Amino acid sequence: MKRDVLRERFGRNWYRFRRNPISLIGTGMVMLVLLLALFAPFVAPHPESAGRGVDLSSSFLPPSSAHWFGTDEVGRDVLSRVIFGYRISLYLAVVVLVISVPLGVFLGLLAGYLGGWVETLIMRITDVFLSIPALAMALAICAAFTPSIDKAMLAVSCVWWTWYCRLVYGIALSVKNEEFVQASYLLGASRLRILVRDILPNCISPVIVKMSLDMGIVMLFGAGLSFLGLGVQPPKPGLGTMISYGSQYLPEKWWLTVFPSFALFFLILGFNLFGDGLRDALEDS
Amino acid sequence: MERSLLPPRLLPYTTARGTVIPMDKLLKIENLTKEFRSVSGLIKRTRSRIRAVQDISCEIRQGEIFGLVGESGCGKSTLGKTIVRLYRPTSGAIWFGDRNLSDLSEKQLVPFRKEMQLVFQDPNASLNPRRSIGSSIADALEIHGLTPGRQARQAEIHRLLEQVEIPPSYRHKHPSVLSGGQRQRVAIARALAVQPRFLVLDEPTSALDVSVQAKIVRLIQDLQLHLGLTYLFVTHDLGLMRTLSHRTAVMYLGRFYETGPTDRLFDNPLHPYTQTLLASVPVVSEDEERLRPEDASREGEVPDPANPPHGCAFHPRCMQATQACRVSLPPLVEVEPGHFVRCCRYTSP
Amino acid sequence: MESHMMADGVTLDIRSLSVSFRVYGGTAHVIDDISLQVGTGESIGLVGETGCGKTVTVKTIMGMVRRSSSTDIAGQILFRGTDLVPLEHRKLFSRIGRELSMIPQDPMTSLNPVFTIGTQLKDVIRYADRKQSGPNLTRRQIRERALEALSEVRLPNPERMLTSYPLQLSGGMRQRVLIAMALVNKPALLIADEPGTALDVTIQKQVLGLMSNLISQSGVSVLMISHNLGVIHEMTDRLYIMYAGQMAETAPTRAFFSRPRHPYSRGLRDSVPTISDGAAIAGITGTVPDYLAAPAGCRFHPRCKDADERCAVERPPEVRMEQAWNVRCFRHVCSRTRPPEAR
Repeated sequence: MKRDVLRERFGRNWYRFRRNPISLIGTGMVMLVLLLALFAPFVAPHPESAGRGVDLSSSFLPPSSAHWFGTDEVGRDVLSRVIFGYRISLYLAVVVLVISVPLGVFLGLLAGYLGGWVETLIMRITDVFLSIPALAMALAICAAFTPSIDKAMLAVSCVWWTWYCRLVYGIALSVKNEEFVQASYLLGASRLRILVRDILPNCISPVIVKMSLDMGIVMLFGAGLSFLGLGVQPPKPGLGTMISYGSQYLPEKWWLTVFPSFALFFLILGFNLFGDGLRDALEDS
Repeated sequence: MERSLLPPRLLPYTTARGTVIPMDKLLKIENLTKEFRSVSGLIKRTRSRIRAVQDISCEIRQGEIFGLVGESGCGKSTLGKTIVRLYRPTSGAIWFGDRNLSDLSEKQLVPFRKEMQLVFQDPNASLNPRRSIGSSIADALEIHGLTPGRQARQAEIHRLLEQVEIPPSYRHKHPSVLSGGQRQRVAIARALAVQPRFLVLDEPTSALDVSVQAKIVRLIQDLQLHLGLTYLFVTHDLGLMRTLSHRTAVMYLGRFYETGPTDRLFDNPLHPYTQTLLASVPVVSEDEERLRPEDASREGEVPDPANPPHGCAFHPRCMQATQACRVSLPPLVEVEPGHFVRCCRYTSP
Repeated sequence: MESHMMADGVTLDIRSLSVSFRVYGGTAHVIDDISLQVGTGESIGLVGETGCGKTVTVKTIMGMVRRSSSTDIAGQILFRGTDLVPLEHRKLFSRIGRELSMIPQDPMTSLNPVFTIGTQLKDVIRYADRKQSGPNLTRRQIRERALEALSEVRLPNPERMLTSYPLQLSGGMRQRVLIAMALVNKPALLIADEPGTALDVTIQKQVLGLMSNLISQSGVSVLMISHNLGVIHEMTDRLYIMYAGQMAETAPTRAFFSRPRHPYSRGLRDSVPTISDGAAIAGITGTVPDYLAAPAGCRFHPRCKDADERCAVERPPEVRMEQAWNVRCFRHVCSRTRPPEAR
């Protein structure tokens, strides 16, 4: 019985989702990226290129049938590095969201529902974090400690939770005045119960949509940090790092920058389209 | 049509201290006032003050359906919500048994949540769209520990849904797939889950079609008989009021202007506002048109609750207004047994 | 209220209209072969409860529902002779925009809050003026016409009203503004969507009284949509009862209420509480059908006490009872020979 009802609801949303060509394209792109990242060691033609495999005899080869994306300065296959680069980007985005989303949602709920000094405290902290340019904050953190991918993720998370906090705060504020919350209050529900059973479910859809749209931005952010030398460190095949290193060889050895750039673009676009489609499908209230 | 009150076979109320109270008067409201203030600025200056409910006193007997009728802004919904302590009264008393509910804290109110509940006007808004209807009802049972365990809870939800004529298999459904009438039934089921004695029905059928409304009214009447409930029925629909309630109170700008047994009030409306209301309702037969009173008002708007007229609040629209009406607010006087009116014409100088 | 009965022409003639939508789960046959006429100068009520299809009908007339990959429309909607169904929304409005106007349901949300009443009213006048033969009226003339329209709906201080914003007005006043906007260009057909529903009953009486006067003064034809039987009783000459996308009955208003013939109409009438006594109100068992799986034959048959086998299989024909009175019900197929039922 419950299964039937759930299937019906899922089916309805899925119908809306698949009718939209944009979301289908986005989904396709995302699926491709996920598959590549997941099966990187099997899909990449030269998996050793992602690590330490150097072959100086094949350095700076332009794109050919053996190396679709060419090779870099130490002979590593660019295509393989890009595929592994997807792994890193996704890993980065997932970890950042896993840290920042629960934190942001939790604080947003508290601030929105409890009000009073709790609200003031949390929102002022959020204001402070939001008024510092995210990039500057991330730069500061990364530069203060030895730059590495972990510090990059930490830096991005420090800034990212604030958006979720704001989002959920806004929802909590409007939902807490809804009649069904009054009805729960009238039944004698404790504040915790109302928060979890009434307010939180109304936040899930917007948070999911934001997460899927955020994937792209977070990855871009991470790539940006790597580009500046503060994120993924060589020889790891971060996309931003590759673009950065490749840029010094422009324009003769164009394949070192163009392919990683395009790969990043493809990745972000895919998530954006997917996120857009998801938002349209879930717009049911 | 004879509508008798339920015989006093209903249970007396046992207070927390163990006193047993006969409870023929379930609720006694004394000088209840509810004011809303909007403040602005750093020093919290009061910008406007709205007295939604002003100095209301009445008794509600156990087993009766007490009706509140009035137009928008009269305060009837606010009164209903204040009585069940959804709002905190600004002043006045709400006597339930031997306790005055108006001063109780949130925590002290929890046991009283089982005694009185409210059904909201719009079932679309009062049911959480993201929760199944079973889950919404389960809340009531969980909060007050009314069922020991999951099995018992499921069984009780089953019973509650059946009681309001909803197939129990619907309990996993979300409100959005139900019709308006079904949603309101679910809202009623939820309110009844805690087994209250007193139920405020705040315009429960306003959002529904007329044929669905009639069925909900029938359900409300049946439930009253089976469960021995007492209702405060709030509506703007006079026809519905006549069909359902034993006693009626006409509200205007926060006060009662006429109260009395429903049939007497409708057949012999004393206050010009009551007469105006009855004259304005669009009717469906010539008989009804003939039988109703003349319109006693002149063209005009409902006054702003933040800026009410001096004296009798109806005087700017009243065709029979005199100087006295402008000056002072007349008191409620009993013109015939149980039938009270607040009007200068009935107050002896 | 009595207005001019059917005079020379027919302003709106809907013939065998059917509308269906393809949605998740199948095809919803929302409107099933309905016909409706509004004669010149007549006030017609279209009565039905939520989900009966009256909104879709109005939207189809106004051009908001159109044939598309997911919408099928069959039948004709003749407005003064022109079939509106094949016309695209834009074309429709350029052809008849001036002759058709609507008073929307909710006065609180139907006016744009960021523009003054004057701007919105003058816009309406200017639009019609341009449509007619290019801009003819001067700004002063437009303003005068706006002031005239506002005083016709008995709004106090029309000058000040022009510079007021909707938020400064009460519900009753906004409704009057909407009426002014609808009638200022002297349309041939006025569609009133649930008039008075959003207003308090004493204000509603004033506004409906005003509408009634203006309608009979101008002789405009009216199609009034409502689920409020009392309003229909007081404001219309003839009515149509709609149920689940089918037309159940059509009759002259006053006569109808003393003796509704279709079982659904009777159920409706008996569900209206009266103020003269506390008689029990009946209600109608069952619920409105799902349009994805609408009942065959007469769509009301699952809820009808008098239904028989025929009702579930065949669609009842329209039976003419009297002048301007038709019922779509098998029970009445032979009743022309029977004496009229007592109430």
